[in-house]
Amino acid sequence: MIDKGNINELAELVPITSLRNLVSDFKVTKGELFLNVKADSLVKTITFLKDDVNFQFEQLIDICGVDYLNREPRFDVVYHLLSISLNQRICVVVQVADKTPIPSAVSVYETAEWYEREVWDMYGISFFGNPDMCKILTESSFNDYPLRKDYPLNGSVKWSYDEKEQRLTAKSVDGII
Amino acid sequence: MVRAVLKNSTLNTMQQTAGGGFFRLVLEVDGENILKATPHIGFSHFGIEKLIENKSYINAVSLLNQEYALVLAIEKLLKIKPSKRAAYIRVLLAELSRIMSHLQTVVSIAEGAGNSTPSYYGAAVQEKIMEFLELAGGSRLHANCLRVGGVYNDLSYGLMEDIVKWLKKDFLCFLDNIDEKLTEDRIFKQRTVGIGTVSSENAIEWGFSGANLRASGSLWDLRKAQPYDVYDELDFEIPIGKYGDCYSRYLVRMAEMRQSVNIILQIIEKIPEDFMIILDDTVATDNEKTVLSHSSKNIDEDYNVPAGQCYESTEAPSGEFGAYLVSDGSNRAYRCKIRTPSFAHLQAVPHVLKGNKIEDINTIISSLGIEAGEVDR
Repeated sequence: MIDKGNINELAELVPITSLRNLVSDFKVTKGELFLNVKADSLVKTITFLKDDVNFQFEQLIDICGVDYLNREPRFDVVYHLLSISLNQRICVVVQVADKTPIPSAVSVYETAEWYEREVWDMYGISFFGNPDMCKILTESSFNDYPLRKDYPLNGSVKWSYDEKEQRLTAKSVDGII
Repeated sequence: MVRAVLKNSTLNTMQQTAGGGFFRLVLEVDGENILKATPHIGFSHFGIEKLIENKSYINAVSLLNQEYALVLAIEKLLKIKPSKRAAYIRVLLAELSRIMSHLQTVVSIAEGAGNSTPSYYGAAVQEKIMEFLELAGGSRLHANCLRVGGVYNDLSYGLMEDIVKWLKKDFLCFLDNIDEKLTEDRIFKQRTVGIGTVSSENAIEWGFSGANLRASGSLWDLRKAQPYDVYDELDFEIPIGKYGDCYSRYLVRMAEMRQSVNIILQIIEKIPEDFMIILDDTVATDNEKTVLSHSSKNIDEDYNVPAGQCYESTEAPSGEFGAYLVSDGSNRAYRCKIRTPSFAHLQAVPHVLKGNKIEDINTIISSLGIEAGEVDR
C-alpha cells in the first residue's frame, strides 16, 4: 500500500493526456479533483480513467445525484472513483437536464448498475444501456422522485381509509401539488 | 421408459441479516445448487438523505462509525480540526464499535455454519461494549458521541482504566476461547473453507472494500492509506487473507479485533491531557444572549457551513463508508449522499452465491458483513 498520491500532480496530467478533449473543465478544491464532462463523452472518460497507466481508477465508489432546482441544466450526476494501486480519488461530474437520459457506466464498471438504479429512483434521471433500469429502494406504486428539491418531506399524498369505498385511498396534499 | 423432465425451481426467500432488517432473495435452484440469485432491497428504506437535507447539521446523527464520515466531511468544509484529545477519544470509540461489529459478524458466521453457542457468549461481550459506549455518550447502540469539532464529552473518570482492564483480562480471553472453539473446529472449517470464494480481481471489480477486500488478498485499509484523525500516529498491522472464502473473512475479522485491542491500548498510553474544544460552545452567534439561551439558540439555529462540496470516507467495520456533502452556505446540508459498504457488497451477492448451495447462503451473507439497514438507508 503506497502513501496517498498528490492530487495536484494528477490534475497536471489532465491537460496533457487525451482527457483534454473529453473534459470541459476541471478544478482542485479541498484536496479533491473534480472533472466536468459532457454526457456524451462520459463513457470515454471513465474508460480512459480506468485503463490509463497514470490513473488506474479500478473502483467505482459511488454515483450520486444532486438537484439544483433553479439551475439549467437541473441535475448533477457525480461519479466517485478510487484507485487502489495509486491511492487516489477523483470525481467526475456530469450535468443533466430534466427528462434527459445519459449513457450508463455499466459497460465500464459493473457496480454502476445499482447506483444508477438508485439515482433513477431518487431523481428520475434515466441511464440508457443499464440492463435493469427499474426502481430499487421505493415501492413500485410510488410514483414520485423523493430526493428532488420540490418533493416535500412529508410526501405528496395522504393515505386514509375511505368509508364508502371500504379501502385505503390516496389524496394529494392541498397546497403542495 | 419415459424420463421425467425436471425443471429448475424458483424460490422466493426472505433473508434476515445479522443486525436486523430484511431483504428478499429470489433464487433459481437446481436441487440444492444455486444457479441464480437476485436480491431485492428497500424494505427498511427510511430516506435518511432526505431527512439530513431537512435538518440542521447538529441533528444529523447516526451510529458511531456511520456518523464519523459525515462529521469529517463537515469539518473539512468548516476547515477545523478536533483537539488531539478529542481525536484520540473518537478513534478509541470507533475501534470499540469496530470490535462490536466484527464480533457480530463472527458469531453470525458461526451461527450460519450451525454453531450457535458463540453468539450467546458474543452477546454478553457486546453488552459490555455497549455499556462503555453508554458511559461515553449516553446511549447504547446509537452512541451519539461524535460532534463536529470534537466529541460530546470527555470520557468519564476511570472509564479508560476500566476499558483497558476489561480488554486485557476478559476480552482477549474471550477471543482465545472463540479461537479454540471455532478456528480449528473441523465442522466449522467444513462449512466455511472454500465457500463463497471471491478472487482478488473480482473483489476489486465488484466494489468490495474493507475486511472483505482484505480477505481476498488486497492490501488496502483506509486507516493506513488515507489516515484521518490520529490513525497516522498509531502503530498497527493490517491482516490480509489469501483465498477470499468465508473462512478467510472470518480470520481477517478475528485478527482485526486483536489489532483494535492493540490500537486502544496505544491510545490509552498516548492520549494527551489537554482541553477539548467543542464547536457548539466556541462559535458564538450572538454575544448579547445569556449563556443558557445562547446554547439553546445554537441547537435551534446551528452553525453555517461554507458553500462547497467534498467527499470524506472512513474505514467502517464493514468497509468504506463515505459521505459526499454539498453545502450552500446555510445551516443545512444541501445534499448529503451516504455511501455504504453493504450496498456494494449486496450487489455482488448474486456473483458470490452462484455455484454455492442453499445451506451456505446464511454463512456467505453474514461473512460479507451485510446489514439491510445499512443497504437501504
